[in-house]
Amino acid sequence: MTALIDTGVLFAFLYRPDARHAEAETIVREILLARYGVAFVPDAVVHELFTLIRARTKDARLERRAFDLLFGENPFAGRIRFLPCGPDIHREAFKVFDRSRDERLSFVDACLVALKDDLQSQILLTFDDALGRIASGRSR
Amino acid sequence: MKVEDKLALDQLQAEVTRQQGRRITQEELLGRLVELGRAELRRLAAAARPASAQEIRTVMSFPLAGGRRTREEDIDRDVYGLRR
Repeated sequence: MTALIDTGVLFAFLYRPDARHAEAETIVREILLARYGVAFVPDAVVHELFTLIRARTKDARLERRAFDLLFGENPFAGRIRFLPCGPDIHREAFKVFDRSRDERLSFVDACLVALKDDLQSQILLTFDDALGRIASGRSR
Repeated sequence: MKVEDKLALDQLQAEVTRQQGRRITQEELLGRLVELGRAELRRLAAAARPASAQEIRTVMSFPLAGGRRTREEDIDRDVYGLRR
């Protein structure tokens, strides 16, 4: 089994005041307990996470926490895998991005949909309802 | 081998072939992956087993308190200026 982690889950976990913090804690706990098999963090999600933290909070401590969580020596970092988005994924992502104008998906969201298809990943760990709907509608 | 793992291996083979400018066989690729696995043995072993209660407590200490409440629905507005 494989799972892809979306930006909002990581942000909500790291930032206690987020409305979905408790749910994000549950997801992170499940990742640690290996309930999802291999959990992937796409590079695009890493980029979006740091941009989001800076845009929302401007909190250097939170940026450092995010960095340490993903790239430090800790049990979470040891259980996730990073996933690059190469040209083929970007081509597929653009098709999704172009087709989903009405849903106003970001290109990062479109990359997640393309990666989910490409990996035949069963689970997209996201709080984004529109993204979840589109991704599940395309699942093989 | 699971379908998704075979697919990932094929993609890896194609990417390494592209970057090296010469075709790499899957046998050669698997040999290198085993070398990498040996070098990253601690990470490899950690991924295979559920975390202990102490490890979970360590990760649960990462979140920080902050100021304003945030919502998933506002991510695209906050990052890209998009409104759903």
